Amino acid sequence: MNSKKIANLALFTTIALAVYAAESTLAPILPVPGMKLGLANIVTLVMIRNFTARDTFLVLIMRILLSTFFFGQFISLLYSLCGGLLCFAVMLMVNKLLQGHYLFLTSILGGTVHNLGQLLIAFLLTSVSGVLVYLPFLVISGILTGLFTGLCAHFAQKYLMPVISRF
Amino acid sequence: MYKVNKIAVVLGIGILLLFIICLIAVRQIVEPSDIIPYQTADIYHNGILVESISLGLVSETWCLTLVSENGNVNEIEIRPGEIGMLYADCPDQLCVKQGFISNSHLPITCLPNRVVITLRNTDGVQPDAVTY
Repeated sequence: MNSKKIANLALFTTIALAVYAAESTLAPILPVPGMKLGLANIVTLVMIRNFTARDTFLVLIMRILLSTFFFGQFISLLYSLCGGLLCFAVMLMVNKLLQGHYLFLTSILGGTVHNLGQLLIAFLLTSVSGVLVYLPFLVISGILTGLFTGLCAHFAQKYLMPVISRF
Repeated sequence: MYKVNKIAVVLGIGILLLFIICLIAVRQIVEPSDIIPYQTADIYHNGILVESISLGLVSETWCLTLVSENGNVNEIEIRPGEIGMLYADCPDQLCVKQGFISNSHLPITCLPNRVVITLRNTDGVQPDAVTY
């Protein structure tokens, strides 16, 4: 891996981390655990469309690990990892199907699956079936935020990619 | 290109259906047609049912403190007819901000400390606790 690539990947990681930090200061709207904007996904989406899966995976793992070290407890690592990896796998598959078009669809599905993955972990950890009542809330939130981040990612990468020097 | 468009349309319709179904579900949850006052609150800690309280039979306010293995503290206050998280040392404080519930389908959840308070219908007259 040459230094240009390392620098670029580090830059992407930093952007994702900064966006995640900024978003964590926003107050939650509903008392549903796990409902958030998911803006860090914008970086993941831009990378899924324009870079290799391996590079995207690297940035995703680095972002999850660093964000947990800086901002979270150990337990949130499990949640983030589960949601993030599930979301990554689904977005990778959907993006391949759509061949890079309709990024907002990829984003919607990824965001929804991310929320569902976190709900699954919450259910497994608390062993209370009552938490599953959050499911429709999280799906709706996942669809709406996925649409928003998908559109952001689409326009970001449209104007950003010609400027980024390939490595 | 044509195949991609077809896949996109299928996905789009699927997402729309999912959205509509969940909207209906949310409406059902938020405005339950069977609002019965004074339900039974179940308090779960680490997946174990710690207390079952019939809110209608509560005459005076009392507090229940839950401490987990790594020292995390949750204080639950039980008032006549309602229950709520008074204090928690979790970072997001969602559970505390939710306030007090009396007949809602949404539980009070403190995920980092693994505390869940759910409400359920008290069928008929039931004793609060049974010992053998």
